[in-house]
Amino acid sequence: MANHPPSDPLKTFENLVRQANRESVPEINAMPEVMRRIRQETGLIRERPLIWMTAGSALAAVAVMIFAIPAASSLLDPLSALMQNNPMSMF
Amino acid sequence: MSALTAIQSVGLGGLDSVSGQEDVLDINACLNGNQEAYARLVQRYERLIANQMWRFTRDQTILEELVQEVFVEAYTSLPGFKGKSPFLHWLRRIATRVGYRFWKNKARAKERQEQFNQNPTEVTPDYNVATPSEAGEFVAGLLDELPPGERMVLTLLYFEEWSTQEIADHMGWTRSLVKVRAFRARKKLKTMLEGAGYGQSSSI
Repeated sequence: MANHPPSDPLKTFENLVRQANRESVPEINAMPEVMRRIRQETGLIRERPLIWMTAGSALAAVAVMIFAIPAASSLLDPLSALMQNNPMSMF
Repeated sequence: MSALTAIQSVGLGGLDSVSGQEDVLDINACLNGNQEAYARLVQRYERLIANQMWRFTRDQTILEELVQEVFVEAYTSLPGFKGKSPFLHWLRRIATRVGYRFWKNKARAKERQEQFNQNPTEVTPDYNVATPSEAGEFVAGLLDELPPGERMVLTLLYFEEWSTQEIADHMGWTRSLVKVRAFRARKKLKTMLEGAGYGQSSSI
């Protein structure tokens, strides 16, 4: 074929395609990896509500800490109430 | 209508009825969360999809990745499978989409590379092909020079032997767009082949 190609280049192309269509495709085994990825993805979907719940709980905990730390520190420090009312009274 | 009842009502024309019935059972089981059923579907069609994806790459590693991508995408889209056509047709459509996306990404990467290199190296195909493998290599080299849309049209026209209408339906393009792309692609192909000494004839 290569020595005597047809005069129409597109006919040559057609012949080449016909020949290429007889090519044997390499053996592959995609199944294990496909199943691994599917399990991974479905696992993520299943865990999504848990992830949201964890994030929500973390946010709530941060909010509580923001209010709780100053409150706790004022309770533990007996002078703070006095200082806040009249800081100059000590002098 | 569920995928199962839809498939049963339209039948599985064009497919072997035994594998068609197996498909129906496996798809239904799969939709009910049975992943082993999907493994059977993968095993059944892996070879056919690999043959199809071989048009998109000549690299065995990439071939395997593309086939995996097709089946993972099919799995996530399975709830949307209406059963209007056989499962394999539906799978092939996904495969074409995955392959086309791969070509588009590859073309973008190539463009960036060429901008960086300034002087892109021309692919000089070897015409002394003797074996199907060499012919495949050579044809892929030629088609690689075309933009993804034109390459897709020629691949479907010549390898799959589809009509322009079938290509339009499959790709979601208009028929006139397919014709324009086919015309441009053939013109470029002809120039490439003539440039390499293959005939100097007239009509496209």
